[in-house]
Amino acid sequence: MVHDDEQTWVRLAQQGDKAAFAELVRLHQTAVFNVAYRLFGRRQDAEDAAQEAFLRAYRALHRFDRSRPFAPWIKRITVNLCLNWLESERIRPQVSVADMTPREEEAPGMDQWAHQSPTPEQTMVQQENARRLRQAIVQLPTRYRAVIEYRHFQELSYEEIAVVMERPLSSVKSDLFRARKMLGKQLE
Amino acid sequence: MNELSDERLNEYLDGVLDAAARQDVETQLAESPEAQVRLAELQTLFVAFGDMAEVPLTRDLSGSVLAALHEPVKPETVRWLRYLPWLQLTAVILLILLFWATIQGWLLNGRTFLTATLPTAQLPDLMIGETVRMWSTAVWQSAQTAAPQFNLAINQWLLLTLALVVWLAGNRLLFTNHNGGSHG
Repeated sequence: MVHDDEQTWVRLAQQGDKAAFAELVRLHQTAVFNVAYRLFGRRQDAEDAAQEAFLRAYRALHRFDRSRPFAPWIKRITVNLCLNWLESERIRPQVSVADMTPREEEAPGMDQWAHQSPTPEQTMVQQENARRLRQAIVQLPTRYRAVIEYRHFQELSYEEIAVVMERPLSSVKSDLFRARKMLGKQLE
Repeated sequence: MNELSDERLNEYLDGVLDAAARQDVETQLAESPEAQVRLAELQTLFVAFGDMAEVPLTRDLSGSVLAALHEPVKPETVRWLRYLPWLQLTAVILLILLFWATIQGWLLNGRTFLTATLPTAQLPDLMIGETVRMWSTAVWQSAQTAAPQFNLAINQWLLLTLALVVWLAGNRLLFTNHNGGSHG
């Protein structure tokens, strides 16, 4: 479902209204940044990629179907951009200690408030698992990172991932299952 | 009974199996502690994905994005119209080839016309032009393609050429920089 305001901003932005596009940036920048951060593991690189993704989205805005939600589209642009940067070795992914300070992990996810409030001990365990999982994702091969991002964070189906990545369905499933196996070993 | 594969367990947790396949997996799980362990490991991973909270962005990107924007949003165009200049250019090239014999004759008479119109003009030596003309004539004749004759007065040819230049400029195929703007 597309939010009415978002549709309005997209329509105005397609007509050249940059202030409307700025509203779209503010609405989606955290999500886009997190896509890049999961793929790169470094804050500065993720911010650079997020900014570039929005620039590319603006240039391609005339091709965007505004009856569809904006978020999946900008996230796919972000993933493609990040993969290009990784493959061109413009970005060498690594999770630095400075980037993984406990403060960053304190932002509560929606799921935490949907259930009983976790104990401090549970919160610490969750934060530690999240940190280890981020490190493990960043160490995956580029293609495996992409399928994990699409499946677990953008909730695409196998078939949708195959279309987006232009790869056979069997290859997508194989990559996804292998990536999970590798991540599982890292978390043991 | 066959061992429950990792692929099957993954599909089971992804919720993509139909009811019969799901029942089959659950039956095998009930009979295989080893498969239960593998399933639990996968479930732990799935939970870890779900527990990964969003990392907050510490600055507003909208300002820097706006500052970096230079080009206006292109208006929507019908897809085939994007290729129209190239189609037109192809048509022009075909017409030139079709009337090449007539154009050659006009080039041959061009010097005479310019001499009559601009008696004080210093005209360049046409030797190179003559060589090119002879070569192109030989190529044309070797292709054994008969070109239709199209007899026009020289001033009419000039007007036709001027119209072609105006049309090319109007379609931004001439006198435009690589960014799509116009010179001057």
